[in-house]
Amino acid sequence: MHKLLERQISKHLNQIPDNPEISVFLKAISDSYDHFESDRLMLERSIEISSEEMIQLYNTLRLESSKLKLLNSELTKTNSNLDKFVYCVSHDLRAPLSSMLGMVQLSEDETEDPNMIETLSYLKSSINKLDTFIQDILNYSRNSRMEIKKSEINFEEMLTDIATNHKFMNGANQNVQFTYNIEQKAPYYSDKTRLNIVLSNLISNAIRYYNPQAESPFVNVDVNVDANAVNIIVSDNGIGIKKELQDKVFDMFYRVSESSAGTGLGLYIVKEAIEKIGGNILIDSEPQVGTQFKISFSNN
Amino acid sequence: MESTKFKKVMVIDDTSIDRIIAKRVMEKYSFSEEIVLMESVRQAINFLQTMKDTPADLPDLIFLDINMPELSGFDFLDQYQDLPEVIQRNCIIMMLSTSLNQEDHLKANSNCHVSGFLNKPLDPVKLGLVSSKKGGTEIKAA
Repeated sequence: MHKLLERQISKHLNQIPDNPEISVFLKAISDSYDHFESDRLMLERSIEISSEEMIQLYNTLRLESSKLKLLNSELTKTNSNLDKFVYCVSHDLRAPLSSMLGMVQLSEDETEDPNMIETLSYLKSSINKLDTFIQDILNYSRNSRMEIKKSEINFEEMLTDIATNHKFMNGANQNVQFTYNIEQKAPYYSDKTRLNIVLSNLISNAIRYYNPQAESPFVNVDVNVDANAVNIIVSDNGIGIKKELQDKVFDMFYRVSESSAGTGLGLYIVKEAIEKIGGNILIDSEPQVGTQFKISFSNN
Repeated sequence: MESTKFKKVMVIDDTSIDRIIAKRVMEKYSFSEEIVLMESVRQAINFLQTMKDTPADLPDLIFLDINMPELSGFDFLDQYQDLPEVIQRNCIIMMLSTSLNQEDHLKANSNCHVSGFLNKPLDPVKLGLVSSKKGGTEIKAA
């Protein structure tokens, strides 16, 4: 008989009744106590096992998490080293280019020979192309690795800065009129560096591909900010792009023509940077009429 | 000959070809009566210090490179700050660099001694911008 049942009987009845029917009944109770007991033992055992497993799992997780933390801090370090490296390389590549450009410009000033002037202008455009390429690679690397840092955007300041930079950009075209129009009803917080890469690239494209036949070449930026959305339209009356090629302009290394001065990276970076900060861009262009880029972000 | 805009311009740059470009473009456009070329921050600071008793001989414009070995353009600005005030008077400092680092731009623009940031190489358009900082008019080739 089960020990517990025995104790209970002796407590309440003093002795085990000597009745065969009750004996059968008590045997059944004792058996169920036994079953209960073995079930309990099994349950306890399984709880023990699973808590052991839990502890093991917990320890493993803790170990993994500290490993991840270490890896993460190593990655952050590598990232920032890589960033410094890209800056240094781009600077060291650009420095001799700017010296070359300076010398070419001085030579241009000192000759009347049309052949020499032509030669120097080819040299200059190659230098500028290489310089743009280095800057594009720098921007690409910045966009792909840099964390998104949000701050309040001052469009006026950003656009004036870009305009000034373009005015003094090496080999800049001074024929294209740059205007902007800002309507801001709500503040907008976004990643300044990426927004700057986007607008700079679109504006310099508009200037680079201006239409020499247009009466007054222009590039205009319309900024509209309210509490829900930010819409930016960059429009120009430049040479434009054929409809069937417009899907491709955002592809990496795509250039509209072999003779185009760009690197095929500019608009790719523009799209990547816009997507990184949660927006989208559409192009609408007509050859010999002009191009419109429509950018939109949500503002909340 | 056009009337010159500056009396004495100092160029601080470790790269010799860039010092030559700056000198030649300034000469070409009669930008300054006198041009002094410094190849290090140390040399420039020493030069300025020797003139504290003859302020008339001090430069009225300094073109300052950023990336230089040993002491950078920003180190120059730190040391410049500690120079006698007579040296700092009447002098415009323009950064002249190839740096695309936004931090460099911000750091330069927030420094009270710096009037502006130009990308190399120096050319007549950029010289025009600098003379406008002095309140001058456009410059023409000599």
